[in-house]
Amino acid sequence: MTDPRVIETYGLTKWYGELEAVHDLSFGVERGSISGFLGQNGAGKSTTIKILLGMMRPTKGGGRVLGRDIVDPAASLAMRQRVAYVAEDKRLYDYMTVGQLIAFTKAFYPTWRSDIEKELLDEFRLPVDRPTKKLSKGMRTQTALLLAFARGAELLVLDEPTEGLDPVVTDKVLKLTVRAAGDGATVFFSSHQIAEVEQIADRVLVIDRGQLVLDASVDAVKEEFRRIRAVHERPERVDLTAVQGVRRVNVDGRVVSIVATHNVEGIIRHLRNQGSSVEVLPVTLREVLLESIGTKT
Amino acid sequence: MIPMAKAGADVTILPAQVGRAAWRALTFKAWLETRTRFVTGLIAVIGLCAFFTLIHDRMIAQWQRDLVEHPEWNNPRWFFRALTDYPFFIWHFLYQDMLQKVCVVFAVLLGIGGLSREAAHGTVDFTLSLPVGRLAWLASRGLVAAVEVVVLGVAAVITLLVCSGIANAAYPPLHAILHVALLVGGSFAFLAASLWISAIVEGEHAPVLVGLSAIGLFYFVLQPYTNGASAPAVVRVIDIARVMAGRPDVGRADEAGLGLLVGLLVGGGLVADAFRRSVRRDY
Amino acid sequence: MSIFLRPNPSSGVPIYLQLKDQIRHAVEVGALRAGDALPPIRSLAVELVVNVNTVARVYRELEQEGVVALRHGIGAFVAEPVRAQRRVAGPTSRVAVAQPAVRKLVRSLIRHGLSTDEIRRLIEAELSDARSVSDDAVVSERSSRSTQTERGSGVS
Repeated sequence: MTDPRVIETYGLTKWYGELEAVHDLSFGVERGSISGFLGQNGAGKSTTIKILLGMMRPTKGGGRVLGRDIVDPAASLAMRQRVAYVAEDKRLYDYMTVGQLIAFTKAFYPTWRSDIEKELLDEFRLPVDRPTKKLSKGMRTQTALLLAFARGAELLVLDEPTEGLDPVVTDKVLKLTVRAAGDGATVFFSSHQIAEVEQIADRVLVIDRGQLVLDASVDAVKEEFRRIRAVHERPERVDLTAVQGVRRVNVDGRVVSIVATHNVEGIIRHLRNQGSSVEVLPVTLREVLLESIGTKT
Repeated sequence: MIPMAKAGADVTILPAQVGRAAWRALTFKAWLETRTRFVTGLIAVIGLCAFFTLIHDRMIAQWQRDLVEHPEWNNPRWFFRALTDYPFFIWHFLYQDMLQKVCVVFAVLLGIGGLSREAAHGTVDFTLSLPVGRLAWLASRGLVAAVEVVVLGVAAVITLLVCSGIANAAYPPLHAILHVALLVGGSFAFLAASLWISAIVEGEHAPVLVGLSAIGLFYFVLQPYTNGASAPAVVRVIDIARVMAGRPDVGRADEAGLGLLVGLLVGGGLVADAFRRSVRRDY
Repeated sequence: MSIFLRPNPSSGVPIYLQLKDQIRHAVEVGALRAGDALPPIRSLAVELVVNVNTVARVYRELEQEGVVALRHGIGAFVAEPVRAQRRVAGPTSRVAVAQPAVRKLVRSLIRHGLSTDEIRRLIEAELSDARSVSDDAVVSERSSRSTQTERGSGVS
């Protein structure tokens, strides 16, 4: 399967009764990349992931993961053999010990990596004979991560993988993620930690109230996105509809604040023609995120 | 049994490559989940069978004393037969009554579980992300529970024969085997109902309560009606409790055969519906 | 290699730029000398906990800038100082400006697995093609490509 896109979705939509959890989601994830998926709780991150993995069926739209149709149960089943998933809820079978869980999970994955299993048992200091109900929350997360990284999977889907972990272990997990991607795996992880996404992700996707509001490379956000502030006597006169690259416009008194994705020179020229004084500032991913979500335009 | 599904439906049990190791893992998981219930049931069954076989002599002796000392007591018909007919004694107390109820209760308990329960425990996401079809989840659970029910039956037979031997009572093995087989067969129908209840009722404890209430309803509300003289003949066929008890004599199981078949067909239908629901559902 | 510090992911400066600066600085102060081996891309990425593609980009760009030399199949090394390189070269300025681009192209083609013969044939084919196309056509094609708008990520 030399398909360059490991995940692709077309118009993915999911309704729960009256509530639209996910609306018209279309995006792609390239092989070997690390993509960070940001969004508030309840924005639709976990729903999207569950639909991708065949645990839920979309109301409309579809997609492919590792070349397999996500809506077809048989195809989805075959796909899951090559996917490692860490759920938002890190609970595991409480009647099994860590060792039993490993033996159980191993049985389903012919690509299982015993070397990684041993390495992580050691690094995470997991007690093999302890039943998971007696593990702390952090150790449970670490167990879930071991079960994922040792699968030898082509695609790692991690829902908040560092939640509840101390900084030392968090660092180990990020290293493992980078290493896995370096070995050819594709990583799709959701997180509340913007810094983590900035640190290891190639691309960032932001979802807000079920809709994709940002799909860009992390470097582009730092290198090309800019905040342009213009002071204008009559800001309502400033018309930017025809200008390329304008992502968001906020007006506060006489200050027009624009987040631009590209064409910064063009925007500046346009504003100067309209008689504004202009300054250009960098904009962080955090700012782009906060301005993308929570508020209606 | 379960009809062949059309192309694309969730029929593929497991990708062929991992087949055997995966089945072992699934059955091991189902075993771990039901282990405690099974052992409890085993103790209950063995204890019950041992108790009645070993207590038989003393009970009979007491009854005979009662006959002499209290001639005014009104004794039911079965009493006199039980005094002298040992297999009938076993039939009356165990196959018709206590052993039957114990088997049914444990068949229901062993069938409780499944994806809804995992949802209540927060493990359903992990479970469903594994490359295992929903049919495989249901089938592995059902098969393990069915085997456990059979083992309970085997334990009953062995205990009855061994303890009868200890008590020096002659007990034809065929009597035990046939009647326990009827109990096991009927229990399968209850197991199927339990699998179905697990697919319908959400939560951690609710399915157990519903299951046990259903048993209670069956034995304490429905049964007295079907046993009464006013009940039409067809009811006797589907009265699974009567079917499971069978006739007190060895080898006469004509009614039982048909009733058991009906019970198993209904059970099969319930399991199929449980599977259908599980495939349609979002977790 | 503890001479490298972890880049700051939340700073306004992209991680790859921070890393490039670090390496250039290390060469300037002598922490890294000409001929020293740089860590393999993957192990540096894991050590600094940054994306492998980021490190790859850093090495690539530093190579174009002449700070680093990538020896195919062996790894990355600190390059000989620029002064030494200029002494060896001698052609006119136009060719000197073009040379890094050609080096970059040739190396990338080699990395893709083409043989020197294949590369030579490709270049010959392009040259004969270019001779039959007018200058105007090339210029207009280039300008239309730059005004083609990029797909934004959701204009509010």
